[in-house]
Amino acid sequence: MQINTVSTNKPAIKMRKPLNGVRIVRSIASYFLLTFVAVIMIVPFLWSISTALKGQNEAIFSFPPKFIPANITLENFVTVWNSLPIPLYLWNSTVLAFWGVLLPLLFCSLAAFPLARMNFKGKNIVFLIILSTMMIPGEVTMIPIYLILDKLKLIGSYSGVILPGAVSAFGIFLLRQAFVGIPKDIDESAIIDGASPRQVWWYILIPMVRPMLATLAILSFIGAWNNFLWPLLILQDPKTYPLTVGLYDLKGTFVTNTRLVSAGAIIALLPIMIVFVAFQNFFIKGAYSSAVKG
Amino acid sequence: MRKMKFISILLASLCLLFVAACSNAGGSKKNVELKFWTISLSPTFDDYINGLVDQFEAENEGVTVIWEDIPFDTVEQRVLTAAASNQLADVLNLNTDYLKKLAAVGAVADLTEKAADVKSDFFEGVWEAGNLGDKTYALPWYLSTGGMLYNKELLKKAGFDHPPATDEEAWEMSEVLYEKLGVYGNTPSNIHLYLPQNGIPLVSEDLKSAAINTPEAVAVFKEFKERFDKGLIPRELLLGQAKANEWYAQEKIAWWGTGPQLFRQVNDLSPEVYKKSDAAPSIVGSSGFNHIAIMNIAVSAKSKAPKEALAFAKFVTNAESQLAFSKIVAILPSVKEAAADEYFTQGENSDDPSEKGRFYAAAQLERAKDMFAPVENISEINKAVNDEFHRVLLENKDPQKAIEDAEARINELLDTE
Amino acid sequence: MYKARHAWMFLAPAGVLLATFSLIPALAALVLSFTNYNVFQPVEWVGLDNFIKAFHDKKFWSALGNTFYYWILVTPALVVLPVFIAILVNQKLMGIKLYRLVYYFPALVSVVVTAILWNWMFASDGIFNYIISLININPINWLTSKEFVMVSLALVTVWQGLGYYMLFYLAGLQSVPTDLYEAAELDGAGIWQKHFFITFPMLRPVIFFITVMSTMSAFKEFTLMLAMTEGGPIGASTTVVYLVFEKAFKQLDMGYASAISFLLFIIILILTLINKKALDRTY
Repeated sequence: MQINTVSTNKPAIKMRKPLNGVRIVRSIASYFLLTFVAVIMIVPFLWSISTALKGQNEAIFSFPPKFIPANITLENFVTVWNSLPIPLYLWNSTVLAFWGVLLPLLFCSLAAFPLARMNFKGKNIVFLIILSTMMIPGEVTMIPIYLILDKLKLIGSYSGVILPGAVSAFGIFLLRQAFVGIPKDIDESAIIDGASPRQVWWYILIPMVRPMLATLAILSFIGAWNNFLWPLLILQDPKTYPLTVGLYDLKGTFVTNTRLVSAGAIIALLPIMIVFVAFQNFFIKGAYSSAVKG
Repeated sequence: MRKMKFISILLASLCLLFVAACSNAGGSKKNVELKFWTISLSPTFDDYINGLVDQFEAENEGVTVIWEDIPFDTVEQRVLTAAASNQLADVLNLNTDYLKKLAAVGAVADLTEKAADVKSDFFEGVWEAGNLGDKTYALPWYLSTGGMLYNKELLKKAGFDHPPATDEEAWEMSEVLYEKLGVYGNTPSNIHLYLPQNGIPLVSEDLKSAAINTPEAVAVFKEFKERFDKGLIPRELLLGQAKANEWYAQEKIAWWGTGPQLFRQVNDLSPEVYKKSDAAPSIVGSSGFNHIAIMNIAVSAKSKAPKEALAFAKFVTNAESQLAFSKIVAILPSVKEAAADEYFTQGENSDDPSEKGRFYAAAQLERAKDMFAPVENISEINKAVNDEFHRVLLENKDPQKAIEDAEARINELLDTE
Repeated sequence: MYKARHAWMFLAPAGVLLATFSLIPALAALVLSFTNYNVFQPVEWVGLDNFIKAFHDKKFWSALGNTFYYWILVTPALVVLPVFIAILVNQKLMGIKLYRLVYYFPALVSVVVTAILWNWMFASDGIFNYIISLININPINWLTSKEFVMVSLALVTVWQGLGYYMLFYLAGLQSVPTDLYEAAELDGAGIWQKHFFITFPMLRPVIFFITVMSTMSAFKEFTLMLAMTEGGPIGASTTVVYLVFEKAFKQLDMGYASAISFLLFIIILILTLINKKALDRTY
């Protein structure tokens, strides 16, 4: 019995599809559709980008709006870089994001396993309780969580920011669904072969849900990277501020330099885009063939 | 023998050191720590606030002030989470309506007696901003009266060579502007201020019942409905969804009524339009008074150092400190002595609308007072009046019924106190 | 096959964290709904008073109605549409990763920026009114009339959610073994048949997930309303959580806010149970 756990292999028998006219037409149609949808998605951002590229003397709000700056300039980005300790903030955000991705991936995938696979007394209740934690709005749990962190003496530390979000019911739910999609006979064959639950989890199930893990990683990263309110409430030393909190300084009192704020927002967006594209390597069409043959 | 001498010298010097250390420790005062929170003043005013802190620490040995600035849209969350874990700041900068809420739940200290000595330093109409009922809970800090930034070019195109000086004139001009150029003039969004400014208070003097139900109020609502139907009042500005500064920068409105410290926002959004602009005094309502937006300084009721906290609060709001603040940005001081400084009489002929605006605003200080009744639920009362007003304009509700409903709601809100 | 003790071992680490930072605070909030807690004054038990107040509160019912309306507009769209987008970007075309990023963009940007951009597009002289003027329709008060405000907000949410939920469907599609498709093709199945008999059934766990998640998100939404319309005009876009936020933070009525949250929780729980019965299936 073969268990295929490696991702980028071409399956043993590859049916090469002939490159004929039908395929070309299909591709062109696809690109057309793709681009049409892309335009709808991206148009609103053109304004943000163009604002960041406009110089001090050019109007941001004119009517009708001008998308293309008269003089494209990078001075806003330079000013933001120079007036705030951007590298420090980037580092802080990275630390928070690193733990904000690692811990959820680990704990949620551990917890999702029994919920998807095992039959134990109280399983449904546990699952419902976990889901229930997502049904209470954060506005009313904010103060209790703060008080708990205070009792644990975690106010002011990164743990206070990371731990409340380290396990999310959302992540557990997501991975549970991923595990549910895998046929149970795979587990059974492995166990018959003598695998322990931990080995089944690590060597068989985890590799098979890589796309979903990548999804959770991306979402956790974005959540941790864009986190503003909690770091603001918990952290007290400005040197520990992540990018979101640090960039708030660009909103001056009474007068805001909108160009700088736009430039800052774009600087903050870049790492997310990089992470997103990087994790795309886990999304590859045709990478999996069913793992049980014969 | 020599060994003995050596040891005794060593012992003696040790004793001397010990005594010296002890007396030093006994001599220094206990260190008091004050936490001071401001709203959205960093980083623009870092130097100023740090300067205040340094000066106070120098004049008050043993006191350390820790300053933290809070972004204005997270003030409530910060205050509540800190208060829940007993870590609320000792000295707090608060805006008027939140102050009244906090005063009603006993979060801030009653300063009626403790601050009586400085009361006369402040403008009368301004002092009330820190009141709940007839008790005082905060000292007034910096403030902003109104002002007007207008677009000279737009007005000229419509045939006007000066900005409006009265409400009537403003509406007449608005009609012409709309017909000729399709732009707006008066853009009301604060009916809860307009009414008191024009002699129709929302709450009675004894603070026990609604005072809004008068024929004059109904007439005002009717008038505005007519103007709305003529197309003179843009929905987005009425409902607060679009920002007046952006519309002004896009030349969709001919004038913008706001405090002069905000004029420079137009420069950020559209330098060309800023160059075409000039400042004028704001239009005063028929009551002779205009609303004034005030920031306050309060002391936490649970502060562990109430005396020092109060001293710091008085220090931050005294004439000298406020004058220095007003020189950095076009806000105004709430202390009479500071406002009398000749600094505010300059700028009358300035080219920069911000400076000219400050001159006009300072000149109007005597005719400014806080239009918010000193009751706990003032922000909900204001909202109720606005809601009824919107219903008249947007849903064709009968003005008489709307005023009556507003009265009922205000009475309901006053009852719960 | 598996023992119960295995189950508890795997659940333990997550369980501890979840209990500390999600469960206990949630229980605390629930308990607070029976009190008049306002942070500053001593807590007093008030029993069911807050709930009775909610039943009589016009604003509560109006907010509930607004929230249900919003949910109906948003969730079906976000369960169905992203499937097609995911299928579209699941192809092995050059530059497909870039397209995926672009589609995901709306989900990345903060609420504040989204609000600025869409407020501008919905303006009375904005892009949308311009487009409909080309087909001779009168300008619509997108955000300033109670007829259209929820629809407009729903539109923004769907725009943001397309890319967001696309990602889940994409991951789900990736886990469908390709030889299933190849076998079907050998049997002569066309595109629609392939998707109907293979893709959708295999996506069922993801569909369940998205239905539940998007329902929860729809019921908890308020930051969009706060940023774009401040709950207006005249409360037409005030959702339940918006009300909770106002009561808790602006009006210092934490007890009442918790009670409203409790009622909301019950509603979401019921809907989730219904969903589970209908869509959930473990092998």
